[in-house]
Amino acid sequence: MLGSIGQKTQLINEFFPFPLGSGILVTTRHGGWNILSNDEYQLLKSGKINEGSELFKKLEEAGIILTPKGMRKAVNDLRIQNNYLYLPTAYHVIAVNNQCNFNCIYCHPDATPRENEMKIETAKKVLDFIFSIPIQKGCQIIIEGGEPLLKWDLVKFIFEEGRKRAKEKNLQFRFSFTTNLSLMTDKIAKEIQEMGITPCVSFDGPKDLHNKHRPFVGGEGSYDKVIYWFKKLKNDYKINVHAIPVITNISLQYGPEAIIDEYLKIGEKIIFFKPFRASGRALSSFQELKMEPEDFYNFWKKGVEYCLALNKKGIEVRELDASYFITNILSPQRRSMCHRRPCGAGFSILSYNYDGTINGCDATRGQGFLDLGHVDKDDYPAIRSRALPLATLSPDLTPICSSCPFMAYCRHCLSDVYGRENGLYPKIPRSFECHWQKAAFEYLFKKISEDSKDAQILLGWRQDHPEFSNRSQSYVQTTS
Amino acid sequence: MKKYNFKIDSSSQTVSFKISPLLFPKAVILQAAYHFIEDGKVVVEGEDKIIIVTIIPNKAVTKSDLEELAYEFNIQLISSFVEGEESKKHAKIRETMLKAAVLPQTPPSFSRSTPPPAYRSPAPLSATPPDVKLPPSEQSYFKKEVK
Repeated sequence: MLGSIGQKTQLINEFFPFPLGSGILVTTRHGGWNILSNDEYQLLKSGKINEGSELFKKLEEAGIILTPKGMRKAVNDLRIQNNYLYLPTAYHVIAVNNQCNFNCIYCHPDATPRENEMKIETAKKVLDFIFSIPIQKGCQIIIEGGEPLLKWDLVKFIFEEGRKRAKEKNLQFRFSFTTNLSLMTDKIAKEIQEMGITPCVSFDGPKDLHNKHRPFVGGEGSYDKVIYWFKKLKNDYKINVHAIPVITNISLQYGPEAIIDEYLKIGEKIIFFKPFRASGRALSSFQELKMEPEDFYNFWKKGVEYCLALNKKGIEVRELDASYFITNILSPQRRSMCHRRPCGAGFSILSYNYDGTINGCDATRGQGFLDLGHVDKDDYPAIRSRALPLATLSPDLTPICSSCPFMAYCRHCLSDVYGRENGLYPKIPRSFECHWQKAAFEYLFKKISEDSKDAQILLGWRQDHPEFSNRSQSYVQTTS
Repeated sequence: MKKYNFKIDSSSQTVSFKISPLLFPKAVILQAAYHFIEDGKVVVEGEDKIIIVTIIPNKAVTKSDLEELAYEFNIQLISSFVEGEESKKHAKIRETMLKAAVLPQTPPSFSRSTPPPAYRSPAPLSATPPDVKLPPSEQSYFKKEVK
């Protein structure tokens, strides 16, 4: 029999069961898990587990039974998972304008052709703010818009100035920008090549779909221009350019295979089926874009299955959400700030609007609810203290999430929650993200518990450092 | 029909529950009701001795659908109660683990003070609880952070 805390050296941790195939998936708050047979589960429930038995060992290893050794591992996992709440912000997104020559159906910052751009004085203040933060290792600056190529001189200024200041402080410096590519020229391409930076391009898949989602302001499709420059940057200039699609109800009609094939055609091996966020212009087209969680889940699953089939033919390609979910299942490291709970907004990431407003995340820029201050009048401690209440968005403190078997692995986008609910707190019973992610976790747990090639491929998609220990080492070793 | 804690009104397409807060704590009743906000409009009213929950489904339903909903609500009541009890039972373990995980890290100073606010860097990651060692890659956290 297992004892209680303070009396014996081992006790049963709080656990959350979920029926999975012929067994029971058992997870814990810190993310430890294992899959038990019905008999094993009954033994766990009754607390009658012989110390030294195989069952005891696997429950100890997953932190479901807490021995001193298991407790240390569970605490360590919790520390790693929540570490970002204590680190200075190193990821900064600067919007150099909100002007754009595109009229994307879901535009999150609701960019328009009107001129509204960052002044050089504001850019300097943003850099002053960023480099006032006691960053320990390095800093990463991402430029967004509107369309940043409309303010290319300012982008270059921020890059040069940022690089100089990082060097002075002996910090690593990373720089990138997102673009629609339509205003690219050979001169700019050469400069990007010299700067050694990696642009990120919004590219939604097949021509018809991309043009519906991302037309120019005049209504003309942008696909040909994007493809031309994407290939040219990659092939002629050897620039490491990346692309991300946005998925809407319109995308669902084309199917994931068509989007994956388009990505493979341009040499991309990572596809992120990122659902559109309920913000900016997406709100005015919401009924047209809106997806049922079941429909999105089926689309995503079909996409993952297609990636797995391609991998089995020797074509390496993976879906990024699946990749991060697998990582969260296997490891406590949360490399992607969007796959943390609370998300990285206000902690790991800060966003600066063209007028100098500081926001918790680039996704919430324009929504107003997460404006934390202004570069003219606020310092970093003030901004972090205003972001602190966001820590209460942890799953432990969210009704229903606090007893969900998948709470340690899922994500919730603040911007999407706000757009749908007009509040920060996700209403879980009607949450789009919760509904599809629950199904996704069930699917992924089932997949990796099979002794199959699919399991091996999926386990190879994990994104964390190999030194991070598996949450359920013996289990994964057995299946892979 | 046997009398239970619910009443089905087929004409107004509603199902109402009368629940005694002596049987289920208010928090449990509210939590169970919360689970149904996607299925329809949920109204909670009452007083010290009785709480009335009414669910008005979003779409047209039959009497047997309403009956099904009524039993689902009752299951949810029991589940919410059990979850709450389980959570209470494990509160000490939870607190112990969270304290061990979080407290050794000195939170940055967020408050403004005089002399001018100084941002205290977080405690080095090596300040871990005894016997807890972070993998080396965590020391170079920046390199791995992505959005």
